[in-house]
Amino acid sequence: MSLVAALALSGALAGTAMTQEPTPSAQAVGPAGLLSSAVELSRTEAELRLEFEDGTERSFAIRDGRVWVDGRDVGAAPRNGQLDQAWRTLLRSAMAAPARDLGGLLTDWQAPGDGAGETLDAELESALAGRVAPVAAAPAARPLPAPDIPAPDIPVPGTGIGQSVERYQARIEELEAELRDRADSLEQLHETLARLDRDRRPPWTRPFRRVGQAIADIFSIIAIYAVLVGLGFVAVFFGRRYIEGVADTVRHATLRSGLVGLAGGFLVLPAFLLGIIVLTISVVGLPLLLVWVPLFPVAVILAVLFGYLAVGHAAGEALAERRFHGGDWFKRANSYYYVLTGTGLLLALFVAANVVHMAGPWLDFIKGLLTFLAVVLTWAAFTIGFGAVLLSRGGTTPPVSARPTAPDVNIGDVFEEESHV
Amino acid sequence: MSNLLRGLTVALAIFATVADADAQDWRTLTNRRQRAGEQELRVRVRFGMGKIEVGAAESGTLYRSTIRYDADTFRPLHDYKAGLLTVGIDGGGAHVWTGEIDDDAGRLELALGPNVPLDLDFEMGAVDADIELGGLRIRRAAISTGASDTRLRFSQQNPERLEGLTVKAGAAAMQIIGLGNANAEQLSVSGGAGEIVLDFSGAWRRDLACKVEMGLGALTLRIPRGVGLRVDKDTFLVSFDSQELVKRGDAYYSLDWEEAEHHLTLDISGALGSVDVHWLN
Repeated sequence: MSLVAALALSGALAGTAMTQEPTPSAQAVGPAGLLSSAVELSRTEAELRLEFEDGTERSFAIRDGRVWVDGRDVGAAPRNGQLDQAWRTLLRSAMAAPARDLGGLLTDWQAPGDGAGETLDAELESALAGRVAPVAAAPAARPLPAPDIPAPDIPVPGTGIGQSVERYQARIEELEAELRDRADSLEQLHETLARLDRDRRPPWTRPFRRVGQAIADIFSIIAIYAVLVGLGFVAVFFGRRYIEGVADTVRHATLRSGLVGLAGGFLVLPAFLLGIIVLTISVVGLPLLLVWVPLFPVAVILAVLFGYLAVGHAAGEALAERRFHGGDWFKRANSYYYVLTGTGLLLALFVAANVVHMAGPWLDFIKGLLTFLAVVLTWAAFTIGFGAVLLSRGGTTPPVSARPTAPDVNIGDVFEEESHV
Repeated sequence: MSNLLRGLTVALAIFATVADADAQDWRTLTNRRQRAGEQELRVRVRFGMGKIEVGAAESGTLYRSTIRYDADTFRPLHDYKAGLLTVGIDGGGAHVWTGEIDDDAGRLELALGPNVPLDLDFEMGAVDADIELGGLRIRRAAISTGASDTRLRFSQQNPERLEGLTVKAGAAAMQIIGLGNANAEQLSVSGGAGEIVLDFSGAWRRDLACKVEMGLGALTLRIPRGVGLRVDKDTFLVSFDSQELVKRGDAYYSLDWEEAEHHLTLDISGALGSVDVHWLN
């Protein structure tokens, strides 16, 4: 039979099917119909679980390259093999199919090949036999007019015509499945476009969102500030001498602290690994690994945090000297005050950026600039603080005096020309 | 999340993304159940982060749910017992949320049967939610969200009398459309910060008492003409657009309050923001 004739035959059969209402024998038989179903798909697993009205539960799965029926291993189904792919296609269709079509979809499925696939197919059909209706042939659809062609011979399965019809019907099913997949993709595309459209709305149409977001951000910064100040107070209370030692190092050896902090940042990981290697090789040091591995990272984190607080202390001290120089207030200022003001100073740029954010999208450039400066400042504070902790050995030996005394130099002597006579 | 936290967690987020990219184990779980004599379905949705879509299923179905989740981070919730359905996604504590809701955070599609009366209890976190309750029989509904973008619609009439609809939103953009179709007696909306749109269009069948509590943000009210409106407000630094309303005593009334067949009573309290009234023809 030619291709045109085969397609015409296929169309005639489809047209005939569409004109028919489902026969009573095609409806659910018996009381134990399909009650619920669960389909789970992942890289390694494709499982179908069915529950019937009489309480019977059945499960069919391809998991890790094996076929399982009710927990029984019935054979192999290699990943991405023909059976695996056909089973996954069936389950994907089952996920999207209307409830009335589910049973028919499952019973109509033909497993490729034999062996495990044949067993799976047979078990599935036996589980659903007499319980569900086959796929409804779209009874609500308007019947198509029968094509004006001579009535063909009735195709007999297995004969040449029958094989052609079966082949074309299989192809039609494949194309329908592909069409469904593409429809899903198209739907996803529409969703993406809709989302992009929403995102493209000019920000000035959502002023309260900006204000709300900025206020929420400011509250976050205040919370972080409160935590840092709390930690700073604890550090001052228990280790005032050490935090002041580190802070003095920050103030009087800022550049050295920064360079040491930078180098320390790069060397932390190699030092950690080297320590592990040395302790491992030395054999006797093996028990020390139990201390070294967890405590070294903790010590580094504490050093960085302590350094940051010391930078805050130094900043607060510098601010106090500027504001209260020569006054009584300066005499009353103390380390708690320095931590309070200095830490606030370090975070002030973040707050400023959020305040600018409230004003609208027109000042976003300034907001970006302030955020950038704030991040750079924070990074610098962490680096310098870490370096100062290392330089001063945790504040125990600050390299310079906390309050440098005026040099005992007579300026007049410097410029006085020495007599070599 | 603050810019500071964003800045400090960028490296962590990148590291986590790179480290987890190959480890993600995406799964899709679809459950469906036919109606078998249930007189009511109670639905509990627990969904921390991601996208959620709710709508009507085909006739004869009790519910159908599809959950897409990363099994390394999340755990699917699905349980049905004696008319109580619990569904959603649990976990995600280790997931680094960068402020955007993307597909990496999971997805839930829930279709509910149109023939069974429903009692809904939704608790959602950072979600992008699209909830269509038109075509369903809703008796009670309580919806709670965190930082979310939520659209709640009643596109068709609710055949049941909705005894109470409660909506709680954190920092959110919330739209409730077609409240006239909800057939509700009472509506309670509370929002922390954000934009709330309440659209009362639809086929009204009974009077509605609505209570709105807002912290900071904008409230937009869309009222169909012909519905009598009364507004009682207890606000601080909230601008109120009272077009086509007259003030009598402490309340604002629409001009047709006495003649209107159905009445909407709004009790608004808020701290900072604006209330705008738009009349729909």
